Amino acid sequence: MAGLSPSERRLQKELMSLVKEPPPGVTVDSDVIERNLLQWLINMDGASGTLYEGENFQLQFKFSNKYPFDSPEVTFVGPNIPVHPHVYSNGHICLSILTDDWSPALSVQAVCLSIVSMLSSCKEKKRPPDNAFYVKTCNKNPKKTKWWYHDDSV
Amino acid sequence: MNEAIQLLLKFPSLLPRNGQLTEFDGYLNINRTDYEIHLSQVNGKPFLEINEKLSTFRQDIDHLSDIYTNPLNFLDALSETISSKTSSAIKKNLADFYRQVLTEYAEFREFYINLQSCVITPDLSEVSITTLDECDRQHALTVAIDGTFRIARHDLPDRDDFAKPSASLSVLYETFVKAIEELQPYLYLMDRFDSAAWVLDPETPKPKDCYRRIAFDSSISVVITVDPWKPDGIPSLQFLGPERLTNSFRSKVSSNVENWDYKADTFDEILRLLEMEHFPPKPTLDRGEVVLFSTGECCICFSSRLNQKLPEIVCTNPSCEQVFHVECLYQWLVSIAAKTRQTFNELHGECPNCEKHISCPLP
Repeated sequence: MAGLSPSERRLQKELMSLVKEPPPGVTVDSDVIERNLLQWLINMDGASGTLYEGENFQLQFKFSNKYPFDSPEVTFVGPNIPVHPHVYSNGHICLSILTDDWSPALSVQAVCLSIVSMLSSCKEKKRPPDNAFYVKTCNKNPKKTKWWYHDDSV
Repeated sequence: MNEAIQLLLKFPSLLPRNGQLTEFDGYLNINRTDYEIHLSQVNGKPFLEINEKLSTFRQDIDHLSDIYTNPLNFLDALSETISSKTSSAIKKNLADFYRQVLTEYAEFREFYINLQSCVITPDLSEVSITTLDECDRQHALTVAIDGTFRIARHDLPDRDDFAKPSASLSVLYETFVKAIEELQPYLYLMDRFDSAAWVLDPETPKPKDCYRRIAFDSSISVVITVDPWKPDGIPSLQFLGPERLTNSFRSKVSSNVENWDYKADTFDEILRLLEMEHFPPKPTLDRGEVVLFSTGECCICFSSRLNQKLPEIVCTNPSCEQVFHVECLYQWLVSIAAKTRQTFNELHGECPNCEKHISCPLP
């Protein structure tokens, strides 16, 4: 692994561990990622017994070269964006660990688990109340949004 | 684009690194010397990475990159400069001096017949010698020839008299051999650490490395630093790990240190200081398992070695006890400046893992 920066080395290691021991319902195509370590596509299945059972989602992780000091940019992409009170229809996710509460001790695995659990604890499939307005006005990068974390229950 | 092609025609040993032809890798051959170069563009100016060979021309490179914005003109001017500077250096070398060096070298080879190897470079600029000590450890010495003989590289701990140049190769070599003899007790001690303890650092110990970081288990280790020239003295012991564990070792050492016996075997004395029968052996690794980060690895960069250094900071929260490199933790605490305070030479903030208080010295 010589010649890699600490940040690349860490991503390489995270990828290896995610391929070997992924959280339930999470799969990655490591061949695609190895071509560009800074952008990952992760497949996520809705957990059984929840409102999202049987659905498939795709998460996109974008890392800056300051990772892990800088949080990854995480959005849902692809044809199926989960309908959830914290997920906007453009794929942006309102989750505090992705911005204000990010810590370098977190990892892709930890973020995936948080998102799985966020989806799993949902009781009613609906978009955030300000969805229409937000999607029209927001920056492309969800990290540029000043989020209000209103509700911890879902 | 046209210019880039001209550049490739003029310097055929350069290869473009990208399709826009703004970065090049390869060699410049000037006065029969190859200079490895990596040319790119920064802020519209040609930018050349300075490596060992180019470092003598650092000033010229800085100067020329200010004048020439076009990479072709820049390389033209640079090769001209290097060419004029190196040819004058060649002229300075005198046949007399070479004859003298060769005589000295020949005599040296004849006199010391038990050298393991002894090679002089074709340009008569360096002699590389390897020799075995009484315990069959190999020691290497490189002598630079520049008017006089001077020790350029060696694998022993440093000493003042190594820096002194000499007119005789034999005198220099004698200094080296005498140092090896003096270092035998030290080398023996270090070998015992390496064979009878779980050494975390250095990864591949060299005679120069006068410290060993020895692990007792996955969470606690000690850095033992020995004075190579006085190995029978009390070494410095620095315990690394959660405080609740290191404290008991510290108190053991401070109560036992007064009974240190300078005449006894240093290795046994260190064990007695620690109240141990022997050092715990290195556990055998289970290679099948990939864990995100294991004990002893920094919880920010997920690796144990960063710029050759191991993590040194331990979270004081007993239910966390994660370890961090000083550099990693510092960079994180600085990046969340709003939550970080500085007192004297320490930063105080939240542990990235458990969010309890953690402090970090300024690196």
